[in-house]
Amino acid sequence: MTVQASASSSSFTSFRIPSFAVRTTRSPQRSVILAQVEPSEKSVEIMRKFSEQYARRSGTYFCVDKGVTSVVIKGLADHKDQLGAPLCPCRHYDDKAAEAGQGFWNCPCVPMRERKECHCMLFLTPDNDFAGQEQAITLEEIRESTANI
Amino acid sequence: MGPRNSTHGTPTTKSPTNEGSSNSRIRACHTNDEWKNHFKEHKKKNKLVVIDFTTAWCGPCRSMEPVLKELSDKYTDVEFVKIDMDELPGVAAEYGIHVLPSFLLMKKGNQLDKVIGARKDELQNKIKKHRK
Repeated sequence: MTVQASASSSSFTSFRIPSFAVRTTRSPQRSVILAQVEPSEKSVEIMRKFSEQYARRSGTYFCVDKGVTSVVIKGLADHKDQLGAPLCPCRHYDDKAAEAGQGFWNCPCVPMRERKECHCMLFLTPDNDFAGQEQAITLEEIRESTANI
Repeated sequence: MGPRNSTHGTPTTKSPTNEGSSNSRIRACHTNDEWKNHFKEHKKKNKLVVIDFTTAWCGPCRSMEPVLKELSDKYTDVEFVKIDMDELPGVAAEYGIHVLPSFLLMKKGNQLDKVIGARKDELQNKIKKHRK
């Protein structure tokens, strides 16, 4: 895994996070508290724009249920706020900070960059049963579909 | 603090106040004690338990919520438990869960099967296979 991560290069350069931005020490208790905080609007907007751009660039589409897309975008924003990097929110990590620093699961993750595999259902290839026809999502859509979370 | 029923209507388990539906059969475990107590009870019974591993901001987990509700209504002889990985990271580590959502099928404390990802049909087929 380490070799793959360090060997692969992201075509989406604007989302590379400098290593000094990643916090390396966090207590488990703090993780629990922060995981339940609403992500900042700024990060949500950054991740929304990134998602639109990367969908277009990779020829993938958002889920037909934009609620799924919205939750993932907020999850990425939440990790960006907490860790300084948009770590995939659809995985469990023993050490989130270490994973964010390592980079394999930072969005777009290595499986997505190499094989267009996004198990988070954010970027779906057109042949996927859950793929919609859109590569755009508004902040309003995100707000509405995650209002009760 | 005893086990509570969850609405399973949102992918989060922020507080007890977020759970309110009295007709949901999906039990959310928020603390290690809740989980341990549930596991102790479960080991005594020859009943299939489906454990849903999830987190608040996991899109596919959210897409499986209505599916799980439907399955729990359909298979009333099966127990359904929801665990938020951010709340109980130790349980995730114990069962080697990495991908979310993941569903663990257990009987008498033993793991029978696992479904990785939002795979409705696979989950239903495995429930059918193991519930008897």
